Amino acid sequence: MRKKIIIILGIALMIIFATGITYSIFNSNASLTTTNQNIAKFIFDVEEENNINLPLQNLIPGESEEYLFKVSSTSSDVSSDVNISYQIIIKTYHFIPLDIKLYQEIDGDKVLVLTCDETYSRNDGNELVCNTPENELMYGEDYTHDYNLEVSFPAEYNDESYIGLVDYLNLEIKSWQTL
Amino acid sequence: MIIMKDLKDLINKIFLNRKISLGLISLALVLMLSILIPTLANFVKEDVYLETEVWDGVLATSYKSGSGTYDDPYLISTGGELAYFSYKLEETDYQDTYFKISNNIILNNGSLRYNPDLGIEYILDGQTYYVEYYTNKYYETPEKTGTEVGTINIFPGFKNFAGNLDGETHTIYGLYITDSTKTELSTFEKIEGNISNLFFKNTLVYGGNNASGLVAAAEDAIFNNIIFDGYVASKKEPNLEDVSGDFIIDNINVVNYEVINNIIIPEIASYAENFVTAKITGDYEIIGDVDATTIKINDVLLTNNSFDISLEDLDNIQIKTYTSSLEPTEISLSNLRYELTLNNSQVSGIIGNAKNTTIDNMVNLANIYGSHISSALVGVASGNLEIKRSYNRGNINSEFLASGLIGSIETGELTLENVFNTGIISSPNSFGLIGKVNTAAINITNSFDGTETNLIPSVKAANIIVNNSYTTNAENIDERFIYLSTPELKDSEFLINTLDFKKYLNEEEFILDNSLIWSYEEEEFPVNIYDKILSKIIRLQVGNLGFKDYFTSVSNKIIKSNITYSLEETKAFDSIIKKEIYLSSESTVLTKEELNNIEDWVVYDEISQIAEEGQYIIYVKVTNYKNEISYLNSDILILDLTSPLLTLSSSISTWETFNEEPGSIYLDDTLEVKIETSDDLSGIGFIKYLISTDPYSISELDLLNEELWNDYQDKIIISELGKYIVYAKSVDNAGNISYLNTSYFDYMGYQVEKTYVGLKENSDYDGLPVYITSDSIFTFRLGFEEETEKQENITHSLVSNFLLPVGTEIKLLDNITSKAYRYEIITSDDDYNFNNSCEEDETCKKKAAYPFILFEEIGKHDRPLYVEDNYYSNGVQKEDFTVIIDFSKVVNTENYSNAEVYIEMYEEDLLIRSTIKNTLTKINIYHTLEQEPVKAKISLIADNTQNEINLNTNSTTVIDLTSSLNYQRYNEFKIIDTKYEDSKVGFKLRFVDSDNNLISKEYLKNVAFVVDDVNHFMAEDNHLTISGNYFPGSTNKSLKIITYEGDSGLAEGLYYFKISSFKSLGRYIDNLSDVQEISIPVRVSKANYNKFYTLDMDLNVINKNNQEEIVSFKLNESEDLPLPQIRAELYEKSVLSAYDQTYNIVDLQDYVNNELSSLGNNSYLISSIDDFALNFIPNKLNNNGYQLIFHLYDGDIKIDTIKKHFIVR
Repeated sequence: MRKKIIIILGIALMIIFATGITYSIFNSNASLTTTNQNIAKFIFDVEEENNINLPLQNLIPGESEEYLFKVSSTSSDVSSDVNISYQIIIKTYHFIPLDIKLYQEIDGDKVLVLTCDETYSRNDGNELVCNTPENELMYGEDYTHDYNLEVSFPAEYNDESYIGLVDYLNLEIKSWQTL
Repeated sequence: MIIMKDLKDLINKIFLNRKISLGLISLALVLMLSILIPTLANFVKEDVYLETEVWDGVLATSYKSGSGTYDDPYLISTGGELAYFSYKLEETDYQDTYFKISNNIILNNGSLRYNPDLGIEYILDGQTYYVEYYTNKYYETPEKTGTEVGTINIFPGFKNFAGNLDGETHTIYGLYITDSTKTELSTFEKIEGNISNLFFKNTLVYGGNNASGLVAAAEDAIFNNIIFDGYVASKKEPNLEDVSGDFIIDNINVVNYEVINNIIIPEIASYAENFVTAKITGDYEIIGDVDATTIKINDVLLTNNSFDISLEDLDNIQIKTYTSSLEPTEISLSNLRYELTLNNSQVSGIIGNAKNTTIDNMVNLANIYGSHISSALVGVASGNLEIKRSYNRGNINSEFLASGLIGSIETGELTLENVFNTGIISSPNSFGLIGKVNTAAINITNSFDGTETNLIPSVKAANIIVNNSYTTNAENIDERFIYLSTPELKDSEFLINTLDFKKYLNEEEFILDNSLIWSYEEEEFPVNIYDKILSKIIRLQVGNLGFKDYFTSVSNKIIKSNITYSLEETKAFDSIIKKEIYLSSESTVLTKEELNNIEDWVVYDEISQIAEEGQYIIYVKVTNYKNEISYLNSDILILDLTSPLLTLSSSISTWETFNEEPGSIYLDDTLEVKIETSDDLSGIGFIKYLISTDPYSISELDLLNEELWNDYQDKIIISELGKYIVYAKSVDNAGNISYLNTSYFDYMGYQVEKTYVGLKENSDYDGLPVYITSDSIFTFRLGFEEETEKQENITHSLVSNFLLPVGTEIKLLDNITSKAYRYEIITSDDDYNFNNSCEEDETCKKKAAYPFILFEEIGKHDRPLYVEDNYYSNGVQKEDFTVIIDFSKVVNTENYSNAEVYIEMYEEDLLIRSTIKNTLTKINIYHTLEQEPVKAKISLIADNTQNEINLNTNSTTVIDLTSSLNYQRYNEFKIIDTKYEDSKVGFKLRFVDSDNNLISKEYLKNVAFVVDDVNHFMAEDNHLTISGNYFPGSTNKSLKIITYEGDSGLAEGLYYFKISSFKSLGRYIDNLSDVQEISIPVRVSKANYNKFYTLDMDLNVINKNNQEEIVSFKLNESEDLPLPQIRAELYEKSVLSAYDQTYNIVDLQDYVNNELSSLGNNSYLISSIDDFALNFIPNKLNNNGYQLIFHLYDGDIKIDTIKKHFIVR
């Protein structure tokens, strides 16, 4: 029974982490206005979805978007009984001058984990690759780590050349067991 | 009384105080010593006339003073005291006793001369007498017969002297020593002491077998600074010594062939060089066949058994024997005897025999005559002898051997340093330094002979070392000496630097270093400073200038009055045979050789004068009693008695004579006056000038304060208005003065107050040269105000330096009378006397004159002509005119540079006032430049004129208009076109079709024109007018053309708004001015492009892994376009960054499967309009961002541009 549980948890983690690539494409039809934008929140529940299409549209200078997601070692059916380490990787062309910041919510506080900007290196596919530090989910507890990805389009980039740009944002989670 | 008492008390106190009294005594002693002790500062007793009396032949009874100690030497000051010295030496040699000669001593007042042919001569007061040998009697004739004319003093001479005698640079004149009985004759018989600083002149020592000037024998003696001049001669017939003796020769065997044997007589070997006659005598016998035997002595055949043979060579006596007999034959000689007559005569200038003696600064000037060996300084040297800085200048004569310094030296050590001979050596055997050397050790350093004579004989036995010593004998160079030519050896630099003959500089330097004794004169060997001073017996006196030397570095001495010169004898008792003068006008000094060749010397007999102007060098030729010739000369004496030549000149006149009542010259311009002056003789000292309003006479100028005069540089400029005379003063270097004056310069006239282009003053042109176009206008105002006498019959003319072209309008505004006149040039004929205005004067500048009386008054119906006016009121003449020169009506013209127009005033055709030239502005008038007309051009610049305006749509077009005036330029100067003066720029807008037909404003009801935010409307002439700024300033206007949607009623097509700028005449264009125009295209269309076109794109991320990605597009709202068309272009992002949004165009066809219709430049026509798709080939695209640009056209009309982005990943 114990072995079954371990196998199930392993499969779940494989499903969740190894293949859990979610990407969001946002098509920003920026206008030259600087109207204050409302901040929308989206739940990115890695326990539920493998692929999520985020309904991003019309991100314009001065606007921000916020993406919420969780990293968890539990599912409704199975739980892990070993410690899990993971790392979040953000990939983007960064053709739109977006500020991309990743926060982790710990005890109600937002802790900045990563600012993804052009100081990071690009890979062979010309993608800008931003890696978070490694994090760990402890065994035996029903742990969930809450993250908040904030994407903002600074208002000063309101020139005609920034209208209609296309870009993407990709989140990848790498995980492995730790003894 | 009280004062006397105080003084006595003071003296008593002083003497009671021992310290004070000792101090005073010491001070007194120092003062006394400083007065009494002679200094070297007066060692050169130059130009001191002898004050002592001639010795009367009486013996003094004591010395002048002294006790003979070092500190209190015996002083000898007269001939009598000198004779007393001689008398005392009969009984003592004065060993360690000190003597000084405190004055020049004259023993005889005439000059004694020895002539080998005529005997002793006595020259007294220019007369030559003849002295009987060995007596004091002199006669008128050489035969010395009859009664003697007079007697001279024979000095007895001195015995042995072992003391110290310091002559203190005094001279003993006329010493005459003679004795028929003595074998050794000299002034001193022997000296074993010291003699110094003693000079002898006019000395004669005659007699004896051996004669010497100063001393017969010197041993352990020191001589320093001795000069001996005169004659030293031994007896004319020397005493001969007979020497005879017997000698023996062994028998001689005679054989049957000739045998030669030498007869050796050892007893006569030492007489080989000084025998006069020699012979041998004896008997002989032939033992054997007498007839067959012969015997010869010195080739004289002996006969009769005895012989008497004269000998010429004591070293070579030959006896030859021969017999034809075969029998043994022998010759026996008996009674053999030699008999010799010897000449041991030795004559020396100063010392006969010198042994262990030191000589420094000894000079022989005496002429020496001897029969055997003659020399200048020393006859026979032995022991240690050192001679330094000594020389001979006398003539040394001998019948056998003569030498410049030393006659002979047998043994001992001789040191010669800085010694030389320049006296003439006349003898069968002549040597410059030493005549005869045996085995002595000789060291010669820095010495030379200057007479082309070998210095010493070649003697192998002697040890002779020669250092740095020179010979001038080029024919037979003694290799021990270095050859130099006489001129080379006379070179002072060489002698100073190479031979260490240190130049005398001054007394102070000489006191510090007594080797600085050598004096140099051009072309001569050096002499010591005492010798030089003693030899300068004549001084040429020119005024207060004295000359005693021959010198070539002459300077100019300028003399203003007659040159008076005289010859002064600086030393008495030096008989001068002849004094001659030669005047040369050459500026360079004649050489002595040239002077020698001059034949027309004039005997000087009295003070003379040169009264003729010129430059002179006075040469003096002096022949002394020894027939020695010397020269001296003056500086260049410039006698300048006349004043300098003086000329004043200017461009209008020249002045050469002083005018006490100068005339007047009118000036209308500044004037340069130049002073030219020259003085051929003394040259110009200085030039001054004075500009004065007052006239002066020459005598008044002489009295003027010197400070009023100005130093003249190169010109005088008359630049201030007024009436002046220029005075010039030239002073030559002799002080002669010349004055000169000009005429009065009357520098007055009209002054142009202002010149300007156009009709009004315009500050834009201030300070700039005036350049105008040939149809422009220029104006000037000028006036004149002067207190003067009333002038009648005056006329005025306008004057120009070129002929004003036809059509020129001249306006004359008389600002005094407030009247205006005009005159127009109506003919090109020379009615204004331009071409004939300068018929004769080549420097004259042509001018045309337009008399005022030609001018018509403006504003009067009958147009009266100008009436001449003298403008005189209350003692003042005042005129004020404004002149306008208007070329606007001139048709044919040319360019004029530096044109001048001004006013002149005449009094009965005589110019009395013109316009001051430096107030005139030169006008440059240009019609063409490089054959192109010179006109100002209006420029019109507008932006935003390329975009079409769609008339029936809603649109706003803003156009910025800028109009300005561009003058042409000559170099950097604008050529002003005064047509534009006082006028504004204007803009006009009109609407025309493509054929430039004017369209009525009715068709522009949907158009609004806003200029600088103010609505403007077209006038009835269908033009819209906008007013601008005054020229030449530029005008900027913002024109906003607003169109509104709606049908204007015009046919479709292309139209234009045309905007022009121009010189405005109110609402109208000045047709004479330049007009510039721009066009703005206007599109009239029935279509409504004023819609919002969008293009939907269904995919903006292309998956690079797919084979094909079809991207669909849909254009909205295109149904209303009659001829819709889409042109597509693909761009790829150039930089992988969000912060650089630049894209580069790529060829769309390379990335899609669609067959596209190319429009060139990577632009493609999309065939379908509403819905179309592009089939991308993903693997040809890069992982990058792309941009598609779609241009929407309606036919040729571009309606809109739509950009769509996508990425590839």
